[in-house]
Amino acid sequence: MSLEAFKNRVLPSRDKMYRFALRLLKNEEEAEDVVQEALLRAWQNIEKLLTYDSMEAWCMRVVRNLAYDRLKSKNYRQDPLDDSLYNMESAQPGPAQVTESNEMMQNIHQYIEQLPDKQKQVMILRDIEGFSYNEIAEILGMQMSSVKVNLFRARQAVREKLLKLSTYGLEQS
Amino acid sequence: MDSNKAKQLLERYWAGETTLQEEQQLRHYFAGRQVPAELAREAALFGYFAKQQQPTLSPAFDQKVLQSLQEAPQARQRNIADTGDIAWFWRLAASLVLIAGAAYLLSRIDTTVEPAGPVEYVDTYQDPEKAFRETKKALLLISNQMSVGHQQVHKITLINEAEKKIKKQLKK
Repeated sequence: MSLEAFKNRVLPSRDKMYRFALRLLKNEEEAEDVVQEALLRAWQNIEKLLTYDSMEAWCMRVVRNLAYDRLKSKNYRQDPLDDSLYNMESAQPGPAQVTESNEMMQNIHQYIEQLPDKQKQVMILRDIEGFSYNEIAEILGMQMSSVKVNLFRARQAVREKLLKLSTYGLEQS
Repeated sequence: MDSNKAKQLLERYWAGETTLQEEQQLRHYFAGRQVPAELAREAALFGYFAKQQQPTLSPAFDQKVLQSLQEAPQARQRNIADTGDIAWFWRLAASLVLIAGAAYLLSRIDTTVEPAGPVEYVDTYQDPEKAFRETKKALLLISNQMSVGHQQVHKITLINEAEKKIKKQLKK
């Protein structure tokens, strides 16, 4: 594969890879490094990569492995300011923002963050990044049935908490 | 998509039964219009999902990565057509060597094998009397050798008989 083909077929996944790394590492610089390293590995193993159904899933899996390696490192330190990335007030307003209740989104963020790790990752990969069950199974190294179960439980947990919110985003007693 | 259809899809969404395409329809529904107040929570959820797609890498990152890839050695790509050509070359070469070897051996065998057909006996003596004498002489030689052998066997027979007699004496 030429560099130009790599640029068109693999590089467009960089933002998904970056967000995935950022959620795991909670550090922009580290996440960027991990994505760069993952892309380098993809380039060096392009022959292997071409045999996979989803090159994007392969790259995401490499990101996950590299991020876990860094998290295991004793020297790794999370950026304390990282959570500002998820601060809805700092985010640019977009067309998807159909509610004026910023507080509701803050609550949703907390609900998802509080989910068990597997449920959280499956929900993020499916509902935010739009991966198929097969791809999620490949990325997380899980059975597809396990992916479906975790997604169902995650959505149920979020729904139960959402139902306790008033339409203005305030938690009802 | 109207709100009723959206509600139906949402029920399937919560049950984990929606396809990627249906989930995309829900994203579009909540992204572009005012939704009924009863769906405000779901609208916030899908709004949150959309917001979470915002952290992206800068164009400078692309330049940096592409630069590093240009400098990095890429693993040798296995071009199926190329490897096929190489394989065919060696197969053809091996076949030619085998054919040449076989042809050489066959040519050698052809020159050394006796010609086919009935074996012809050629007389070694022209004079019949001389031939008779020589034949008689050869037969006598064989006969004498056989007699010597017979004498030796006769001795062994005598020993065997003597052994039997001794055994009989002992039994008595």
